[in-house]
Amino acid sequence: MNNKLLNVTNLDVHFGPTQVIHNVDYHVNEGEILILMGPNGAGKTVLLKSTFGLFEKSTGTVEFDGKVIHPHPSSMVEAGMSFVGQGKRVFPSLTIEENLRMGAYLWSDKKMIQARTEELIQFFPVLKKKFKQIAYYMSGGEQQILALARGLMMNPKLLLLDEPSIGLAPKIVQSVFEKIAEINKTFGTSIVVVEHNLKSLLNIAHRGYILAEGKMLMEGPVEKLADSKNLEKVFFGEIA
Amino acid sequence: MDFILQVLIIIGIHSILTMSLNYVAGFTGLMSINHAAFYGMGAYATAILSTQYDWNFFLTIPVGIVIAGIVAWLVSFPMLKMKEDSFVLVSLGFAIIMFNIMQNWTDLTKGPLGIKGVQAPMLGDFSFFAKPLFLVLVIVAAALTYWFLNRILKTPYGTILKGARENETVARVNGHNVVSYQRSAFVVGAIFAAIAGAFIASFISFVNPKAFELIISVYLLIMIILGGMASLPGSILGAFIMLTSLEVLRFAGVSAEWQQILYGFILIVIMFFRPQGILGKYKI
Amino acid sequence: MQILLNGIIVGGIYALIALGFNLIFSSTRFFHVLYGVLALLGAYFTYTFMEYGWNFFAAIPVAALLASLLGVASWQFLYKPLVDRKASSLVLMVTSFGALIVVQNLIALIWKNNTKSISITDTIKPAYEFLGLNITFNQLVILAVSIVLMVLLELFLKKTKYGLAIRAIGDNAELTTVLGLHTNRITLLVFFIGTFLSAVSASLIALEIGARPTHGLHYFFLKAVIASIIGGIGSMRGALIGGLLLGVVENIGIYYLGGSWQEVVAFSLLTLFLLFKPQGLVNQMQLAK
Repeated sequence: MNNKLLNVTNLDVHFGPTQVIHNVDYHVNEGEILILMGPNGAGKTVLLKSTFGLFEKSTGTVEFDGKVIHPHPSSMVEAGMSFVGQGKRVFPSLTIEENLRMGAYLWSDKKMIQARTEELIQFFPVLKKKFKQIAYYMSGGEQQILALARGLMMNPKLLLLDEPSIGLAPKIVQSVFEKIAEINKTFGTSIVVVEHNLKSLLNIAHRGYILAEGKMLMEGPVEKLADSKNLEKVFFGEIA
Repeated sequence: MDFILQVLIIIGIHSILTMSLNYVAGFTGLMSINHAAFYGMGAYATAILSTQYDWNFFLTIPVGIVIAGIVAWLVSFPMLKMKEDSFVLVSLGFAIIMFNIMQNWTDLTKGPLGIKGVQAPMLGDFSFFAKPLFLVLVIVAAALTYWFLNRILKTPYGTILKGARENETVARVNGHNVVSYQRSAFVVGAIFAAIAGAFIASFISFVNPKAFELIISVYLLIMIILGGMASLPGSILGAFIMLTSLEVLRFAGVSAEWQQILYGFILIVIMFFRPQGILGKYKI
Repeated sequence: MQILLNGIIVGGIYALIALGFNLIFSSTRFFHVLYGVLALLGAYFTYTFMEYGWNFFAAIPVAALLASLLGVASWQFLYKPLVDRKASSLVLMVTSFGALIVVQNLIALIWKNNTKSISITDTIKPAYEFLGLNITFNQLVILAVSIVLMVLLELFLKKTKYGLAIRAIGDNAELTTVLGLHTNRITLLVFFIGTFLSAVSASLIALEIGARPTHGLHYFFLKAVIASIIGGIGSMRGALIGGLLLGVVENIGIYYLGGSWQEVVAFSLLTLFLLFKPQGLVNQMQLAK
């Protein structure tokens, strides 16, 4: 589990004149669940998004699966990465089946898509029940599950998740995180999660980074980071 | 010489129009494409009252103002509910409805035939018919418009107006009823357009709907976008550039269609390279 | 009842124009004002081909194809460069207006300002009677083609991969980028289809109203927008319902108030909807604050 599946070095991101990410390095080991945490405005989402190529004004090197790739969504998807963002996560007027199909848009083999869809609705039974319904009528938690499933359609090696718990009730959050752990175990997918809701996540993640003000502050196994003293320092501003 | 005076008078009248439109579009941020409708209301008020009821020119102006003001106030209710782009659409709709009314309410407006014989302004026995005198009148009106709008924009009221243009949410959160500010700006704009209308009716001594159709509103918008959004001097500059170039083109025998093609093209170029216009302070 | 039938037939055209408009609006989120003039251009191309002896039914597809290429070009060379520079939807709309002025006047220069008329056959065919209602040959053609196009569009959107992508972009454009789609290709396709539909519709309705330079803005664009807003902007179903409703209400209005008030009737309907139900009948996007 020590092969670097993803290695990001010297990442700088600018929003207009302001620099929001300062020379960040991070990596993801094969098969692990990695958390990116930090206070509000630390730049965790920006970091994740720029890794995937969603910001043009970013510089740095992204090496994925041994190859250097210029970050751009379609290149990343082709290389085996998948991104599930926060907020509007689904296509509301499309059915569950169509939502999933969109997740495998770059595939042309209909049989392959169908087989994968079958596999995923077995894995996420809640999708099976409402298969032909349009996503608009699903609850927040169900939509998040749908987004996860969609993200897995092309069997990505690496899944990037941006605040999967946002807007969900605590009980649902628990089940979502359990599903995330299950994904990692069953499919072997490496996962990077940006999260605020640390308590539940700390049980399933392996390693993490703490970010603040666009800079990487700390890195280490989850137990070390979860030590309340460290977190306090980060969130209440002692570590500079 | 006579010709130059004529052009200056037209520029002067249009300056009142462009300054008032800029007040609404550039300073307040409401992209109104119906300004010519209020222009027409003022013109028709003067035309009808002076030809059919022998009213004095100067007395017709308040009537035009009141009519335009009331209509603007009423129409602003549905209009201000719309987001930016949709506002333009409703504005377009209103412009077309007003034009249709001018065309079809023939009992009042004589429709496409128009109203002839509008008199020059008179004060007692003194007539402003002569071009130099009329020009003085127009310059006074334009100067007053500039002075008035400029003063308003320098007050706290004006600041709120401009602030609301940049960020409505912030303005609202600060306790300002943004919509009523916008409404008042819209009404003020309409009032000055009506004043300009009174002058044009008297100067050309003939009004008909074609002078107030949609493309006129678009021309006014092009003038302020060119001269500079949110700039009163820019409004005058825009009117000057477009109207003089219009005369030059006409003199050179360029057809109306090619004139319009040029203006459409200018609009596109401005959007690509300098959306705030020459002297402008606000980019859409 | 006759009014209803007439209203539905012309409403079908309005629906097609609105469908094309909505397709484009859903994907790009700005008011492509030039749309109406490009549709009109399609009608003029049809007219010109017929002047050269082409058959009506042969002229329309070629004319619509030409217009569609221009539509695609407008995205690629006029709008996209601005979008890439993060221009606001208002800037795009104003630019579209500029282009509209240019194209409308080019039409006036090439084809002159008088109304051009098109007819399918040289002789005037008698109207048919069906269940006590009159329907002219032109109306029959319009109705038939409208229905065929709507069915084809529905099949395309529901059953093909590109149709799925188009619907997806309309729902959540950002998400489609994340999924690796080449969104520009799909936008080009949308402009093609939208313009094609509008150009065919314009040619069809030209059988009834002819072609005039001012039709681009004052007829086609306005009908598209009004129908879309009534039905619910961004919605295909909405465009259909809005178009039909507009057609019917307009015909009722013309019957009682006369033809010159047609625009006022249409706009009053628009204003009513904007005041009381701005999201339209099918509830998708919000145009009001």
